[in-house]
Amino acid sequence: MDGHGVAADLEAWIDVHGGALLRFAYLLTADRDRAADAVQDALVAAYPRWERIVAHGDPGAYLRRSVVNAHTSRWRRSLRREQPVADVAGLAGQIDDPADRIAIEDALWLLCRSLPRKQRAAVVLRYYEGRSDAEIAATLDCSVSTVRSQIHRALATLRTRLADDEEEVSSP
Amino acid sequence: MTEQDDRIAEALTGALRRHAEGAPSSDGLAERVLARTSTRRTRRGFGAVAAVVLAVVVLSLGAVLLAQDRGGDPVAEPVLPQGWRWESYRGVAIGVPTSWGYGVPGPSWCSRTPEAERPPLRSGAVGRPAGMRAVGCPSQYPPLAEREQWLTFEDSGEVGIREFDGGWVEETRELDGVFVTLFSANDALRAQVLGTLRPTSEELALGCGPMHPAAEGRGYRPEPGGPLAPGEVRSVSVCRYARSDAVPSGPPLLAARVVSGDEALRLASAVLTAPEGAGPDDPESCAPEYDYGPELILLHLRADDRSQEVLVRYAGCEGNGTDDGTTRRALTGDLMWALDAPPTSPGQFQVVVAQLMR
Repeated sequence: MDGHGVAADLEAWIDVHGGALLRFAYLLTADRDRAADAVQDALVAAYPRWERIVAHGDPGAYLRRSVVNAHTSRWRRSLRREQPVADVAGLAGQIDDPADRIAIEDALWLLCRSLPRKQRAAVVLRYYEGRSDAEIAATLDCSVSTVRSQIHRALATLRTRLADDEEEVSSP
Repeated sequence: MTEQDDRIAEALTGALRRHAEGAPSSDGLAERVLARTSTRRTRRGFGAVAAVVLAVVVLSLGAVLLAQDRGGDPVAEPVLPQGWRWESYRGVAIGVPTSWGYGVPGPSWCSRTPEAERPPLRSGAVGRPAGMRAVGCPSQYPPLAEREQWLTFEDSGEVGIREFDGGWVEETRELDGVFVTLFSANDALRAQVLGTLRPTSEELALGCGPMHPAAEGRGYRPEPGGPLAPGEVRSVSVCRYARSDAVPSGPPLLAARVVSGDEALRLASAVLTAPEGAGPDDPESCAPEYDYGPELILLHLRADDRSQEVLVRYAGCEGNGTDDGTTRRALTGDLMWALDAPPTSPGQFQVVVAQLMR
């Protein structure tokens, strides 16, 4: 495949999958600009080795991993730390009511942003992308047991934070 | 997982799906990506590769991070310490402090200008193969008081570490047929610089592809694009290539630089407003094998929403001039002066072209 063939192939892939990759990056970064930058950087970096990536079988997995690497790399992490504030006042365990569901989803979204980045990536891959432990492990470059541990700890953190915030509201 | 975890997980899925709708649109994503790859000259986003490379440099915070290419795995782009830049030559790239200049006299150091006119010592300099006067200097390197750290690219050499007086050390490493030598008295810096040596890429080479069809033959023309006014140009990548058959096998990219602001405007004005036509040529002065010259420069002019490649031939007896795929123009003094900046200064040209710079 010559340069133009590679470009056409990459363009076709972006047309089909670019939106999903952007959504994935946005859920990781919680920042539209950083998501767009991460995706563009990943695609540009992938271009010179695109044929090899395609031959490897799953460009999407490769690019998700690139986005995660960029997101969790030290120099990016050092630049900016989000300080999310979750207003989860009054959120009880009951989430059957549609209004409560939306409220708790908003609260979880904010709390997600406070998770360590590897945990957040694992959560997004599991609960948004629906990936298996093995797929998540491949993306995060860690073991399956680490994936399970990351997700378990993330859920525990979210559960505790929800409970803590509820207690704070009910305390004098 | 507890029942509460299940409820949280269910809510998490809902939260993520709903908030994913806030992601940026993918409209124009392909165009922006392809513009940054500089391979499809007519489909342009604003992707200023210069900005990308500068961002990598500026945002870096610590030591050099180099990732190994692990087959199909993503390779993290290497990050240089703040205040460093990439230098590319024939397929390899290496990081050096930005304070380092260009031009290494090498063994002919004693033929430099008289002492009264001698420029101040630099902390370091980068040199590429070029013609030099054969002068029998008394030593390979200048005396201690006149030494600078020199990094040189060569197409042949001997890998190893050689010690000189005063604690100065010359170390040569080889990658993909390119021999990189650093002469320095600072062991830590020497290790740090040489530790960045790696295959180059279009991003490390400031938007210049290590390979380019223009270097392979005289028939190449850029893809034509829409008219571009000098005032629209935001940055220009300047890529100097050897003709492929004039160098050993391997990528022909000799040097790259990127300019923006006033310098980009000056360069764009010089190249876009030159008179239509061709030349100057001097076909009587060259044997046929040298007619188009051993090297050329490609310019990537980038505007906010598109870019244009311009081929500049100046080194031969025929075919001199510029070509943007639509219009051929003659070389001018303004253009040759605008191109005369290291490390992409034209390495050689005929008398008829040199006369433009008088």
